[in-house]
Amino acid sequence: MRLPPDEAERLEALHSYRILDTPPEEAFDDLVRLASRICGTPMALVSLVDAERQWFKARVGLDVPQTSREVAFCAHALESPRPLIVNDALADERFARNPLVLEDPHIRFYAGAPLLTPRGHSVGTLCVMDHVPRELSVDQIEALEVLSREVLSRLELRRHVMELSRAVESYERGAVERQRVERHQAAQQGATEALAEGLSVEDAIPRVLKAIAEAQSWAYGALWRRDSTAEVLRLAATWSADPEATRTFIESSRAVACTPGVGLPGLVWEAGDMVFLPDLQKDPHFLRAPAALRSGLNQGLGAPVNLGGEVLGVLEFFSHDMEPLDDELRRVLQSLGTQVAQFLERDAADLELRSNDARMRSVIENMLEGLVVVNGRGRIESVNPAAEQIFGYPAWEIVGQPLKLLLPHSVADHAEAFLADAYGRAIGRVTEWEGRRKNGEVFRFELSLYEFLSPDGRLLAGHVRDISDRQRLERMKKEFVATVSHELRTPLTSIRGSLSLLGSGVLGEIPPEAREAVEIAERNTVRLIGLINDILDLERIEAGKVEIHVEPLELATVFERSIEAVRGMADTMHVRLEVEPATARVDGDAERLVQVLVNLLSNAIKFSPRNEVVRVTSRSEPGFVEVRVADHGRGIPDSFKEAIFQRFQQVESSDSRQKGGSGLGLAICKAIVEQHGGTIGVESERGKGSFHFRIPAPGTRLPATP
Amino acid sequence: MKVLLIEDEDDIRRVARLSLSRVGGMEVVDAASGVEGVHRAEEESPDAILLDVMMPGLDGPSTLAALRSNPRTASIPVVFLTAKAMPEEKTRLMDLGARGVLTKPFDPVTLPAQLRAALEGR
Repeated sequence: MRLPPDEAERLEALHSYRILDTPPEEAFDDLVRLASRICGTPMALVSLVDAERQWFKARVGLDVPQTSREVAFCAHALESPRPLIVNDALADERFARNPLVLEDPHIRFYAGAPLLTPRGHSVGTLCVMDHVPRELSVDQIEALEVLSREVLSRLELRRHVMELSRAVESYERGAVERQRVERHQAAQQGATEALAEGLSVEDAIPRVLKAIAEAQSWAYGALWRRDSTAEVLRLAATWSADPEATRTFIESSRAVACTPGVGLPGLVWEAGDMVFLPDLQKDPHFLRAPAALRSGLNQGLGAPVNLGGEVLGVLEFFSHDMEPLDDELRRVLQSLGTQVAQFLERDAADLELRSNDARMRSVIENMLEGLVVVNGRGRIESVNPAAEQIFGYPAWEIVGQPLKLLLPHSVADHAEAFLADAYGRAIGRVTEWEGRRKNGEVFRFELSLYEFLSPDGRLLAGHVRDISDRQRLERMKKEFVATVSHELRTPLTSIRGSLSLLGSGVLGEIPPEAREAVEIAERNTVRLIGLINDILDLERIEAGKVEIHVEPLELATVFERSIEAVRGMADTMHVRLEVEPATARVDGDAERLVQVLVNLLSNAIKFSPRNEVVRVTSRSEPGFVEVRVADHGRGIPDSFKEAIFQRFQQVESSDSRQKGGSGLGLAICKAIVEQHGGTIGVESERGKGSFHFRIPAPGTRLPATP
Repeated sequence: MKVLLIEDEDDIRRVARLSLSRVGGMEVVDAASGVEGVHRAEEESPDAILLDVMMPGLDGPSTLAALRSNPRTASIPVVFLTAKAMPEEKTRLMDLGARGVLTKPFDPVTLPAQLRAALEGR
């Protein structure tokens, strides 16, 4: 078979029409009918010749749809742009033995006009045939050519329509793609907004899930979050298009904690990358398949929530008919994963802050001390419930008000000076101040201040402790002690007097044993009276009821009078007194200083062994005069050196019985010395003791500290 | 020497009475209140009066004032007996015109001597 020289291009042109093996079309059928009528032939065809065969798009008078190219007349017609006319096939050696001539359909006449494409390639023919030899007129041949061009223009039209529809199709496909991009953008934007506006995981994440899932038409989304203590992922937030349908799925998700590699979240965690499960029912990794099935979910997608390579959580989405991951969606989920991770980190930090804050708040709310915070302008920033109670104002009434609201009227006008004073005295220390309650009552409180910086500037926080109750109690206690002591004194005076008279024998001689008993009774009565006197004395000094009369004194006078008072006692106890002559002058109350010195001397004598010496010395130092009483008693243990000046503190509890004394003597001495603006102390080692007190030198006396 | 003892506390009055009579060998008359004391002073014309300061009704200073306002008792020396041993209290009582101030609780063995010393201005 001879092929035309442009066979390849010709075939390409033919295939471009996409016409082969298509159903009959009326337009072509009409053209072959017209050709048959014009040429007066019983048969007419539109024959298209491909590599192997000729195929008939339209035919008249012929039953077969195609024949092999070998036998086709039309194959010959392809070789020339002019029509091929075979007036008698039997007389033409090219066709005389052609089966189509010799057998059915017994073709004797053939005329075919080639179907020439615009580029001149022939793809087939429009041909007419007859069972008998014949000729066509010039008009008929021209008509056949016209019709063949018409066939080709139909083919061309068809090709254009096809190209157009392909273009339309491709345009439409582009629109789908654009929609897809828009969906991704919507997901991205919605999620970003939710993260920007959201205050907490509970608030923001469901909105993020909703934005992503709705944009993709997915049914369900969830966030799994790394549990910081246990290395597992737990369900942290969900969103569902149909909450009722996914209820059981959410419940079963909540019941699961995923370790790396376990479940969809675990797979994502382990891989650090997105995982798509196209069929949940068949996936061995998917643990929640039964619940998912019940909730109508059959496909799943997981994406890591990671930051700096660390997986902080996993986003998972489920639906019925999910499109597989494309690059764009991958990019969107990756970017959102990072954003969610940043949000989780921020949230974790916030949570810690909030929980610290809540803890602090709870401490402040529940503490018994009042807390008042004042800003640099002297206005109240905040008060706690205890402060509300102490000052009698609800917080809303005083917050923002000037501090002077809480001060007595006398200082309220100088609130700034008060603040400066408090700032100077009360920072980090407990000091006493007066405050004013809402009902006008002025009361004393203990204040300690500390300063701190806040974003709003420098603030002062004051701890306030109402001590008015404590003071009232102390006052009552002291009054009670004074009253009771006084009431005790009168009967004791009678008892002591009676015993003394009995013991003296002026009321008549009594037997020696009775005398001994009377002496015991009298001694103890004296002790009791001494104790009561000391209590009264101490209370009066401490209450400030005893004025001291300070005047210039010769210390020597104080020494003389004191020695005079204890000499009898020293003699009785066989203790020697050595007094270094004193030359110093002091400012003080003679009576009271004698009382102190007598007390120290009596103690020294009481605790000295027989025949030992008690020494009294003095020295002048810059600013003060020191008086010292040294003995060779048993000494004072170090642990007792502070306590010894407190009430009822004796080194051994038996001392008050064996050595007498109320246990108040040194407390009284301390009160008196301090009233003079001086100090009292003790140095001691075993077998040696030395008490001293210091009184400010003349002209240097400071006001006593109450 | 005849002493009038004015003291509202019965037991203390009795102890003081025993002390002054048995230790001091004095003749003692007593009264349990300021008002009674003023009457007794007029009746008995004692050589000295030992007068308690704190008494219900007419207290020591008021009793002293009453005694001073009556010419028959105005010149009898009065010595106070007080539980308040503070110097300022002593001064206050001396300023009222007392001859002396003795403090409670007193020692009954030495009380007569103290009273004599006070009366003699020692």
